[in-house]
Amino acid sequence: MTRSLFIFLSCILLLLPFIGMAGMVSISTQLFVCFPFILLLGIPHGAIDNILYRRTSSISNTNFIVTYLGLIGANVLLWILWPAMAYALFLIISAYHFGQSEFSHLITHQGVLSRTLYFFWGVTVLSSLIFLNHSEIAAVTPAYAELESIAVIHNLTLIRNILGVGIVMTTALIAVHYRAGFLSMESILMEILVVGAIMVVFYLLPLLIGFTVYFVIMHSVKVLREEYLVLKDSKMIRDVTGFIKMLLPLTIFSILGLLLLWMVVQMELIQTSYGYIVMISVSAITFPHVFVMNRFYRTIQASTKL
Amino acid sequence: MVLLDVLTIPKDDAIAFTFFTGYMAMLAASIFFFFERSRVEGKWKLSLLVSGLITFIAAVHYYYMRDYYLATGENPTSLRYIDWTLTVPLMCVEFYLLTKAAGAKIGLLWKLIFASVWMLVTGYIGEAFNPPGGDTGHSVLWGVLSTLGYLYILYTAWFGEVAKLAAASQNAVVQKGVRTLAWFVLVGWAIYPIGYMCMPGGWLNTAFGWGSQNVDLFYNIADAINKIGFGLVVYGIAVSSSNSEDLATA
Repeated sequence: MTRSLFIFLSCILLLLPFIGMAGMVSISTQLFVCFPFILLLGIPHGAIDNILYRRTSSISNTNFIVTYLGLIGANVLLWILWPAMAYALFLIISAYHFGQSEFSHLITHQGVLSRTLYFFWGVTVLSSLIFLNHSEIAAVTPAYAELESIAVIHNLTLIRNILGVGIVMTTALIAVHYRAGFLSMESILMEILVVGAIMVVFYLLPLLIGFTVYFVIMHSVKVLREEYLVLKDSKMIRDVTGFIKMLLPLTIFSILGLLLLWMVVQMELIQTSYGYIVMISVSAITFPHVFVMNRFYRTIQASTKL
Repeated sequence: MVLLDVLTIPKDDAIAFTFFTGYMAMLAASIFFFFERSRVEGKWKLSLLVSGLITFIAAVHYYYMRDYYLATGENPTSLRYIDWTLTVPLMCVEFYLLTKAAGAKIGLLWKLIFASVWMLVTGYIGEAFNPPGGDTGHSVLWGVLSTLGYLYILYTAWFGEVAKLAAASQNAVVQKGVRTLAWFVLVGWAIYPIGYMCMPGGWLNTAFGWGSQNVDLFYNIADAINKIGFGLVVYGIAVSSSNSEDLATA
């Protein structure tokens, strides 16, 4: 069991009954509850991408930033031109990224089969999020005109089929990894527990709160811990304080950016909802982040015990 | 005649069935553990005695609980918690005994016992003093407090002192055994909160309509898995360890 899973299970046992008592929670309240956690833990886990990438690359900081911003810009452009395609791409690369971080402490090589497993594990988790909260998504969509353009991806039959394929493929790939000796029976049992717990959270909690609980604890906290261990191991930081100092600049920069976007929306300089803008922003910064983290895991898995 | 009335089990009463099978299974497990003590090395005899005591204490309580349930149709809450107050700390003793060879201090035992008693006393207040018809606030408050004790034991078994001592023991059998017991705490013990949340006013009761009759069903299943399973794991460790030591001395 990872520490992230322990925290996740603790939250389920301690918080779910209270949230169950709360009843229906509006999207704006959900955003209000989730934002602090995403700002404090979600954003920082991607706030040292430049340091992580340049740790094993000779690329200059300027070139890295230009490339990084270029990928962000390309993603934003895609959102403007073909939102449904941009949304699908966002889900696809997020699925791979979530799966990769989930198995980072279990699988120590990066073959095609492992990458496929990462992808389908993430597909299972993300499609279950949409499937188990479909009625809430369907209720919210008409209130936001922008969401109509991406609603095609939330088609119930489509999502149900994707979830089915995700579960079958993940199960089959885990069996292949077990046969090949890459996964132990204990880690498979733990993985069943993990996916089961995630689905319980998605089912019982409102959409955004459920996703935030998963994203912050099972993903961000886990990745932050791995980043900390690797940077400490390579003597780039000495302690947690040094790590926090390293995370601060771009975290603050990102928070200011979100604040600026909020002001732009409030001043009606952009005619769209703030939630939609945040989704595009998250999608845009996820795009280069996934490439950086892919390289991060590839370079450390052979040398560092996570 | 009275005895016959009391012992009549309704055909469709799964709870009564689990009370009776639970009683017999606990009694049989106790006899098994007591007799098997002679087969293992001296240092494991105390562990097996504790395993036998756990199932024996549970068997005695199940003997009373099954009759109480059949006679009244109510949850034997007090008997249940008296049983747990004795057997759950004994399960913590098993953790201590397993890791003692690796340097476990008596403080570890007291911390685990304190956490388990905390878990049970708060759980008892939550369940026994639940107002008629149920009170969600009461149920959630005491349930959460009880969960803190559970989480402490879970953390200790997976990451804390018990896990560290098992890792330091350099004994693969002990490491595997402690890990298996940690799984029992993680999965087996997690069945109890499900039962707790089924009582009137409990979260599963209000959210999904699961009734108080489910409380005993979950508790009986959990008891059978945890008490007998826990003992069998300890027995497995004792036998494996004794066999390997026999081979080493041969």
